Amino acid sequence: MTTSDAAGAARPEVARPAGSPLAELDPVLTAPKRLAVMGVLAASTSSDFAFLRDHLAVSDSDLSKQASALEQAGYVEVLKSGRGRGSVTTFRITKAGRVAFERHRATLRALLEGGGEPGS
Amino acid sequence: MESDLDRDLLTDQLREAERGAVAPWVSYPPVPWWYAPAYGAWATTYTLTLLLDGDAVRTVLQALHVVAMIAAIALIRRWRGTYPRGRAPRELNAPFALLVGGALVVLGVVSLLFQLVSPWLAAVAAFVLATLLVQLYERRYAAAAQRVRERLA
Repeated sequence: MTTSDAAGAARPEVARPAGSPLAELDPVLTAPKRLAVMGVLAASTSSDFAFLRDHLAVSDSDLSKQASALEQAGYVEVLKSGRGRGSVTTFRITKAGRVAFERHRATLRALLEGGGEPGS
Repeated sequence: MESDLDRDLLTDQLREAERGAVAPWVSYPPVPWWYAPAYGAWATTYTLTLLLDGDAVRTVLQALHVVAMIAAIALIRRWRGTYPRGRAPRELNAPFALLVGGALVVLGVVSLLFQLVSPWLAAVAAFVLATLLVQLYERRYAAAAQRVRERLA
């Protein structure tokens, strides 16, 4: 089951514990590696697969899995150029992704400044 | 207990987000030895175009210099795998100011030498000063980038 946010991106529904500050956060971005990917992409015109993999210190398959989840949520677009061994995969944040990341980061800060209590 | 755990999780998440957001600015491969002299060579050859008599030839060569600079930026982007955008970490403001201010000083000195002393001396000065400026800038940038990484460690 999925819902759409204001930017029209599909967001998977995940059961979240009631009363927890984490319930206010975007479930797609609560995974640290996905959040880190979004952080890199929000601060760059685009980034290629190798840069993201090296920054996150993950395997190729792990990064592919995280990127796929972000692409499905509409937060990232994947661009492929070239063929065979010379091919390059580049990622770029979408408008919806940028909105979601900034909102998620602002929520984290607000929750931490508010002492981490729900609704503060 | 649960609220402490939540707080730790939130802090970790924010740290991941902030580390990601600075990575395009502070994660890059070592700068090759020829990087600064390449800028010096560009400044020298550009200075030398001012000696040319024909407007059309001079304009074409100067335009080629601009194209070369754009191509260099595209290559740097490909080499690094990313290119930063938006607001840089505050620690990088000083190196940026050094680069802009230094470029203006180099331009002023080279212009004065060109007009008042000798165009050839101006071309040599362009190479030396541009190379030194870029070397100094890269060192200051690397030190500032390290401070950014330490802040978010």
